[in-house]
Amino acid sequence: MARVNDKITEEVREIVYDFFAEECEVDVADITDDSNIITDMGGDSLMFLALIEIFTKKYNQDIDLKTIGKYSIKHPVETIGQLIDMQLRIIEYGNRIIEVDA
Amino acid sequence: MKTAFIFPAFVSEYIGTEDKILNSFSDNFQQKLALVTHLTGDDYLHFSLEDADFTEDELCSQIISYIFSCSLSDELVNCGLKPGAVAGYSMGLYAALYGSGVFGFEQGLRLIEKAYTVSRSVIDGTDCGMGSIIGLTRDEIESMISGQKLEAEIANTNSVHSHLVTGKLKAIDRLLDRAKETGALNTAFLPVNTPYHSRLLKETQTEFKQFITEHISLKKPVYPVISSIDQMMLKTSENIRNELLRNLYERLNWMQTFEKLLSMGCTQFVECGAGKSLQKISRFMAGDFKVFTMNKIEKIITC
Repeated sequence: MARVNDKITEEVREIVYDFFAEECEVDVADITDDSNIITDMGGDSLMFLALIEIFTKKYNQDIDLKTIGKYSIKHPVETIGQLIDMQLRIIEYGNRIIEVDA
Repeated sequence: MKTAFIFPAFVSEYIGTEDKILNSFSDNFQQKLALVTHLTGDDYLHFSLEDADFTEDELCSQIISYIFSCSLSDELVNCGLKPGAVAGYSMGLYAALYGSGVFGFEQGLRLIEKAYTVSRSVIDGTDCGMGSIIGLTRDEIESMISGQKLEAEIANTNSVHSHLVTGKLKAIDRLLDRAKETGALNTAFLPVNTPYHSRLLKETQTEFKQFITEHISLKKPVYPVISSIDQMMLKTSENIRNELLRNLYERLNWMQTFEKLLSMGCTQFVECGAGKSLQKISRFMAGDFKVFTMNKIEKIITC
């Protein structure tokens, strides 16, 4: 787990934007926090999984994917902004993300 | 640099420019559309990527995927790009075998049609289906299947946390619900009614084997073909015949197949067909390699 600060927030945002720009073959300038991952970007759940793996390695976290799956039932991710928010919560709380939410 | 051609199964998501790309090479694609129209009696010449009659029909979508794959394979070889190895993902096996010279285009088409009809006949109206589970391991899924005594099984392992499941429709429905409750990141039904890679289709082997023996001439592969079931190299016509039979009812392991291609020294992969489903799966493979989809193919060929 890591204390989320402005630097980490900006890092996560940049990685997410660059990832979707490359994977979905769109200009990064055309992506906003309100962009819908499925309908606007043509994204999919495999991309979500890939991003989790990227951040898990980057922040050296030991995350149980099932915890994120359960969290995402209560907090479904549809937009880029929601994805960034969820990722920041995973970085900050790790496997405690559900307890903190309760 | 060693290149592997990997052939996708039926495609549900198209890039959108596949027909234009293939038409820019030669009239090979149009010729195949005309031939299939003539052979099947269905109008593939006016196929459109937006036409749900084709893209949502299980057999039509398999056939159109086969046409895309065979056409691209032909164009790449004509441009001088020959594969160091090939592998077919699920029903992509037919195009992989065509691409490696095991049989002609028309024979591949006949195999697809026969595999479909014999599979439908064997399940005899039973509601069946397939689904995908993202975020759980194989052991976690198998534990749910055995714990709930579901008539379902894993059809394919795409990566450690990405699997396809197959079986009776109610069992798949329950399995996907249970997977979601357990913490899967995503679950979804696949747009098919046939339980491919399920033991429910084991009874296909007698009739399908007879059809292959009587109607299909299997040649030795020109390029190495890797089995997606056990990752062995298919060297003889007997190997190929067994693979065609087993491909309907045995579990695949695409992750290990991709790893096998990497271990053979393949560092460049061409997704030989429409869409980019195999490129997406490859994100989770470790190694120094690149996967080129049809819309990026100009980066690796010169004609």
